[in-house]
Amino acid sequence: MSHHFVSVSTLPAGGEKLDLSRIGKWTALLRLGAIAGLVLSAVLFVAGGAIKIGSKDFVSGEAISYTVREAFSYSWLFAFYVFFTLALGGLFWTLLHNASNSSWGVVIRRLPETLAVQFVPLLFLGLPLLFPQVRETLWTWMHDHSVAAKSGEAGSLKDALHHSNHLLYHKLNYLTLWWGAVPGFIPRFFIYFLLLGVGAYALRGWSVSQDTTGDVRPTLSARRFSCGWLPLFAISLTFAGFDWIKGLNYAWFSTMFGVNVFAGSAVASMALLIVITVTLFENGYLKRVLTAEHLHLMGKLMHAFTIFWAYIAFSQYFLIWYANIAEETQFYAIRNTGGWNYYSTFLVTIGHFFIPFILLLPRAAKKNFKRVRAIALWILFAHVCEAYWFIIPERGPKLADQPAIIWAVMLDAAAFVTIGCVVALTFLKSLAQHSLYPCGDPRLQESINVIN
Amino acid sequence: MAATHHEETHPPLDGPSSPAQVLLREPLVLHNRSYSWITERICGIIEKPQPKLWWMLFIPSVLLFSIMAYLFAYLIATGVGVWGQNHPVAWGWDITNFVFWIGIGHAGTLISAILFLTRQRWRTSVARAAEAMTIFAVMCAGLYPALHVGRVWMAWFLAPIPNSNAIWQNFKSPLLWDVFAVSTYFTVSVLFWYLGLIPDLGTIRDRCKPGIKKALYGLFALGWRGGNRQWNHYEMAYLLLAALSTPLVLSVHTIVSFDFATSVVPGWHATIFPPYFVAGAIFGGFAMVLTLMLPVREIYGLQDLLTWKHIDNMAKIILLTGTIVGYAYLSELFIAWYGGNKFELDAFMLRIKDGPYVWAYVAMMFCNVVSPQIFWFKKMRQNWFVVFLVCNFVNAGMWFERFVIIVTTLARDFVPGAWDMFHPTWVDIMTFVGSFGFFLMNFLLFLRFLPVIAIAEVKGILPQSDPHGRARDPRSITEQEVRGEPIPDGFGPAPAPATTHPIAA
Repeated sequence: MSHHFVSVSTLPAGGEKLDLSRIGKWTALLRLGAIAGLVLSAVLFVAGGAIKIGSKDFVSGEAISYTVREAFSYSWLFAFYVFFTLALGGLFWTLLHNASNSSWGVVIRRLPETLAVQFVPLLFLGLPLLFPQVRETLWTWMHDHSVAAKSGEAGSLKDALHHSNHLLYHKLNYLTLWWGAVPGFIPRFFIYFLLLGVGAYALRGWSVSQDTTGDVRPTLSARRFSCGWLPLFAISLTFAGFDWIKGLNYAWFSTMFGVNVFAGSAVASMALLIVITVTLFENGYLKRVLTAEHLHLMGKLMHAFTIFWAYIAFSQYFLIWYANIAEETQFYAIRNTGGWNYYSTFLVTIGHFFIPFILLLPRAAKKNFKRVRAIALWILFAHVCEAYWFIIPERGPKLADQPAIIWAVMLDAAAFVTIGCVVALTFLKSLAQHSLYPCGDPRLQESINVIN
Repeated sequence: MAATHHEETHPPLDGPSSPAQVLLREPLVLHNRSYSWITERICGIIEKPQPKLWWMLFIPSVLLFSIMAYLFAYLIATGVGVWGQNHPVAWGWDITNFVFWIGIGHAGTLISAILFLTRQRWRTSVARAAEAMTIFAVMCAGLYPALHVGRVWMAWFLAPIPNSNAIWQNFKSPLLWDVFAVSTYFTVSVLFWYLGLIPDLGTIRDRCKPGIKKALYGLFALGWRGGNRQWNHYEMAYLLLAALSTPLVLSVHTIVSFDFATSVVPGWHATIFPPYFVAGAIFGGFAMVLTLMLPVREIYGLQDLLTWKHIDNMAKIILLTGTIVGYAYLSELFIAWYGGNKFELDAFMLRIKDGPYVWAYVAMMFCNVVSPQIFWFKKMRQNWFVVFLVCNFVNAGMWFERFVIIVTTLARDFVPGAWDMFHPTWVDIMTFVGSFGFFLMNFLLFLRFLPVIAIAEVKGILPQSDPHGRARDPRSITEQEVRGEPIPDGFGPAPAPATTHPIAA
């Protein structure tokens, strides 16, 4: 493929801006979805405590029932986690681009930057998880804490747990709400958002400031900042994964889990970036700066991280399976039982690895805009499935054979659509604020003319 | 053409310290060296007599190698009891050394294959030496488990060959997978290294006077003439082998980690082991590459080919992977506590606080996690002595890591009555020292007979090798281009008209 050399001097001064009025119908639809979803979610959270869904216990087969609020809490965490990981990935790609002093990605860098600043709406969307009725459903240790505290046994919560739940007692310095030996669950929730949000805003701020000034200094600041921020990013990501997902079952543990969350975030957000890039291109944007080379590079990264995800997920599964220690296998035991077994086998392994791995092998697939987007959409779907697989089996009932499951899945869909609409809307608004590509970046010309 | 917004908005580039200059890509070959200079300089190492220092290193390393060979004979004649293994420490220095060397054997193929696939052009100056190092390190590594089987003459039982006793291997054991993984890795690494050597062997052959030397180089150059079709096939083969090596690099150390992590031994069974071992191997391998190449660069005057940019990049990789290894150490500690498994927690408390080998854990932490942090500072990455020192800390630290994992864990068994310390015998110590002799001897012979830097590949990254001229080469972006001005001279095509679209839709 031959490219013509493009000089930045031939590009329009202010870059290109996303014209929201051109997609007025879509934004109106998103707004409608967001408002209706938020209202519905509020109703479900508030009034759902009184409505019961019947089901069967998945181990004993006995009839059990849980409230709509309980079911919806899991739905909300699932939807929150999906979009949180996409923003995490956005921040990761921005940090990596800057820290590695790379140039090829300048053309598309505004997109991960904008994705990363979605931590702000996500912070607000995550707040329902902190309400006692919601968190005590999700994180059973909190429930056990409150039961122990109310049990009336002598002394403090610590004394009460010492007798009733030794495993939890042992972790009390970490699994507390406010303050143990380390900041408890609730302060940590805000610390993660603070660290991630500051990183996202600082990098986007520097990048945007170049649009008008063309100054090179922000590039150097961003590089230094990103190197220093990467460890903080890794710590936030790891412990957010521990707190929110691994903590769903406080008895389970795996040293790999943080890396597992990271691998999923990175591949899924690269997939989302590809989808957005190609869609923008098809609608007449980025025509002067984006080439098939960029898509090829993004496709290669998506491919590499697909393999990385499989490597991590397989290693974790394999080592736990091989050693066969009961406290570790419990995570996979419930995900390999009943309907979840088919789900795990197909969507989490084949869907997340074998299908995209094979499809992404040919170079032509990565350079063809439509094909690479189709594969990226599939990877996004697989990522959503993985998030579902992390969280929903902890809710209890089997995947199939239950009338209640249909209601539960509808609740999951409602939460997904709500958070999806809100984040998509705020994403589009932030994207429209500035040029779609960093038009004042000193590496822009190098990036436009990249060959690999 | 010049009247654009960029001229107004970009600040002028003032003086050599301006930020725009900082953004310029540093050249990978300094002083604008020509093709012939590169050939002369690298072939000169082979063609001229070796410096005295070469002999001063070569003779002791041959002696050490001889001692190792003698000790292996002694071990085979006497039995594994000449090593310090005991109950419960059934894996002692031998497996520690095996993992240590196999880890070093990682960076070579990583540099060659993965950096090749990711189009990291700086790899060209270090790839050859790193690949050679890989091969020698894997040779050192392979010796230990082979001898540890005790009856070495029965080692062929490791291969699944039908035999009259109907003994079949345990395919469920990661130890057997290791046999396959390491031997496959070694085979492919040798092929990859040799394939890369072919064009350079042709160059050396052409420079030799007729005689046995010319005949031998000619034999191994496989009739290389440097024609178009040959280059075409060569590059495709190289790409395919790079793609084949990449999963192999990762698989070898992953399977080495499985040797430990599939067990239920506290301190060994951690799910993070596979990526942690791979990161550790890259870390230790890069440190060893720098340990070897920093002196080579000075002794043979290769400063223009192996520049501070290369050293800087490798130091950064050491910083990154060292920090990843630190993340793994801390994850292990956190989960040992968080998991609530008493035995797991005890194993780690013995490592870090209560056990007899705390010094080894502290040494590991300092060498692998703390010492590389100095590379956050560019001045330190540009200081020969600091880089060399930290690399040697890392070499030592990676040995301690394996010692901590293997010996300190085994020394404290489940049953306190079975606890025992490990004491290396003189055979253990001299075998390990001897393996360094073996490694160094091979490397020195490699320096003597083969081009230490890939001549053809380095030429390929010179600006004058780019058929599209400077405009197509991101490494040769000029200040004018950073400012967004059109290219001033005849290099490369003219800027396209504004209406031209970069993609053929």
